[in-house]
Amino acid sequence: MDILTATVIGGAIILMIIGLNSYIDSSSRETYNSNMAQSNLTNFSETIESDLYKIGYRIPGDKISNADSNRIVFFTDINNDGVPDTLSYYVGPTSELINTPNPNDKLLYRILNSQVPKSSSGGVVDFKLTYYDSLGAQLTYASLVSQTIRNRIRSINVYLKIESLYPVDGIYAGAEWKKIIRPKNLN
Amino acid sequence: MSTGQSMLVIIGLLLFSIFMLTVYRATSSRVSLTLLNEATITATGLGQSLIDEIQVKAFDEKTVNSSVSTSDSLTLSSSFGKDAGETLVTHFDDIDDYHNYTRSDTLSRLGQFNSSVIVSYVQKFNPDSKTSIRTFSKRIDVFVMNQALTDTIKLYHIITY
Repeated sequence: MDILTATVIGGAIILMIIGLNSYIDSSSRETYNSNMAQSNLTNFSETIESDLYKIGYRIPGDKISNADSNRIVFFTDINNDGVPDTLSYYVGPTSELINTPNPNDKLLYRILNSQVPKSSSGGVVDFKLTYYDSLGAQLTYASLVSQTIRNRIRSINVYLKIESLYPVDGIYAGAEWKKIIRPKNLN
Repeated sequence: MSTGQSMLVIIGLLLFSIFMLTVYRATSSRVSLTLLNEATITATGLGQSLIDEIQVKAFDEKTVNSSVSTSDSLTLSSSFGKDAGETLVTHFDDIDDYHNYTRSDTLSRLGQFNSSVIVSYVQKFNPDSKTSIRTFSKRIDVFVMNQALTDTIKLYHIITY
């Protein structure tokens, strides 16, 4: 009888320990993934914000040469040396990162002049740009093929979503950021 | 098994259960904290975005097309809010049009973020003090709320004419 009771109690305790261990493990991974995503999001957003605020700085003519939902090419004097620079942002296709566990992550590229594109996966799953004129009306992407319309851009809404590379219980931890940027030299 | 041994087993199980509950609680609060951080990052971005939008507007309805030299010419604080004909936010042309303005942004992960704005005059040499007297300094308070936030995110910005 004693042996049977001890076996039942011991078995229950072992099951509880296994469950607890599994819970701690998955929540630790979830927290780590989420923190990584938040850290990446903060880093990305700081760089994007800093760059986009400088659109048109010391540029007398056209300031944006390409404006699309996930791509922007603009002119600015990024290093304040009097020489206009071309800076572009765009996201690549998901097929560039087929070896990562997350099927939706993409590379976010930042290209300064003719430098080799700098990219970072960092778990970017969505990068969307929306453009507004001085009245706050959204400019359609189709209309933005025209330089005249691009010259009407006064503010840019940036939406960035980051997810972890690895799922925990099938769920990717993540973070998202949305901000309307009003570059001083466009206003 | 004697009564003493049974009591020891029960006490042991009780202590172990308390330990497990403590671990679960600590882990859960860590996960909640992570979610709170995420909501704070998003809410701060939305709040800053709204402040950026407001601060590019004219200081006052009276300064949209002209300049003023005395603060008594400015809009009374009791008249803050959207002016006649300003039905859409895109019609707002000065800072105090945003007084009591609310906006909702829905994001895919954390759902709806509700932002609201309060505009008030502040004392010139003490910008933390709100006043009903017209001054050349206005304070924009932006509040952002979300279900994942334990408290409202509050941001403010002071604009001087």
